[in-house]
Amino acid sequence: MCLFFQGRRSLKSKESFFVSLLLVLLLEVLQSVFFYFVIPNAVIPDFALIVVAFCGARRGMQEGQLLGFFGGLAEDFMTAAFPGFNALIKTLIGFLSGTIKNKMLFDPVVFPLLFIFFITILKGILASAVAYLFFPKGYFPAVFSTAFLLEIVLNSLLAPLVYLILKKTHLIPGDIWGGK
Amino acid sequence: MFKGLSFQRHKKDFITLFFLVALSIGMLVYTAFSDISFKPKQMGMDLFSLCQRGIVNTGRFFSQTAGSISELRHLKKEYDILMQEYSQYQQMKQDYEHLEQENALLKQQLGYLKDSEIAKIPASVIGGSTNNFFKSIVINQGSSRGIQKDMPVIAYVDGYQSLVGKVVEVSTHSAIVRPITDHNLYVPAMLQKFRYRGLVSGLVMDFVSREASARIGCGDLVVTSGFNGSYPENIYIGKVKSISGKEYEASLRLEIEPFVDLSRLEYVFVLSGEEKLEE
Repeated sequence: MCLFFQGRRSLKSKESFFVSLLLVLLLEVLQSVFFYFVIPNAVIPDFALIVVAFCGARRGMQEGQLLGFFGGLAEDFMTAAFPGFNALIKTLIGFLSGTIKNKMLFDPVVFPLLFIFFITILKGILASAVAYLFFPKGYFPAVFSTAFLLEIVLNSLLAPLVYLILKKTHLIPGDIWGGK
Repeated sequence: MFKGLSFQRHKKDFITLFFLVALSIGMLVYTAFSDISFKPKQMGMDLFSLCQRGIVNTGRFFSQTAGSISELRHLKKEYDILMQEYSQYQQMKQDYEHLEQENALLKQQLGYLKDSEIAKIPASVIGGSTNNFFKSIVINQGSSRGIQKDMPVIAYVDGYQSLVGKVVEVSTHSAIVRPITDHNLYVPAMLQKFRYRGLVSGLVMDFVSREASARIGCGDLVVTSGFNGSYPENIYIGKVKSISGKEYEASLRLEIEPFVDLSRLEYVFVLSGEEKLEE
């Protein structure tokens, strides 16, 4: 792991990465328990995806893709999905989110909402592509479902709140301009 | 967005990406196209099931404690009603014993020596899906209790065995069940009354003969057919909710309402396939 963080990175950056990683893993566990027992039959928002995308967008490709990989792998371990499916999708999302670091204006509401809207759609496209390329015949994720459409809406609406929490807890930089 | 995303400048990022993508695809291909169990997934399942178990047990402790206070209020009323019912059951018990003796006698006359029953492994539900792509349920028993991949999972609804799904992943202390609501689970089924066969996936029964349209209706019961041996026969799946099928199509499509309410499921039984014989 140390290979990914060379000397020039501060200890604070490493710490915030591990805290973010723990947060993503915790969110995955809570998603599996909370939505099954407390809000049954509900559409499950992907909090872990939102955190991965924001951390990628504000802290860069490297941290985004690593968070995505480990978060996705945890999801694979807790569901009936083939191991590597969610890891691959979230790695790519973390990496792609990282490409906008220092390039976009982050306001507290509109940008997070739109950003996560497109990221969730991207998740659906990547899931379909991965399933088409690597899954056995007759096995497909429920991408074209009402549940997924609602997830896009739900993730987008929750995005400003998650963004605010991440900013307040200093897991992502607190300045308006995404970056240093 | 991708302006300035040169390979030289972000060499380390691209190398990491390549490594992570290759690792993910490697795992995906290995597990999707082979029947060999993937040890890291089993270890991960055990690790995360510990967290899930901890959260569920803590939640149950608090909800049961809070519930027990209000429950005491109802106990007195229920006690009086139960005493009245008890006297009625005494009479019913005598009738039942009489019927049981008669049944044993008739079985003997018909040549049935033994009844067979499939062994069941009880388990508790400790988690559900983390996303909307694949539906799953996590249970707290695994290979240490004899659970294996592809074993059917049932629950009792009003005293009837009802199908919950099938075990798709097993670790030492937990297992993942694909429920009947997932469209990737295929269950050979039939209509209980008229015996028309079909295939249930994602709560839709396909390939039902068009001849059935004149005889079947909403509310008819759907059970497992036992075809190809993947599920024992006559386990309840649900009842017919709607019937559709175009004129030119050879088969009907039945929408099914499941017996099991997966959102309220707490305890299940895994059918181990070993027959427990009873005299």
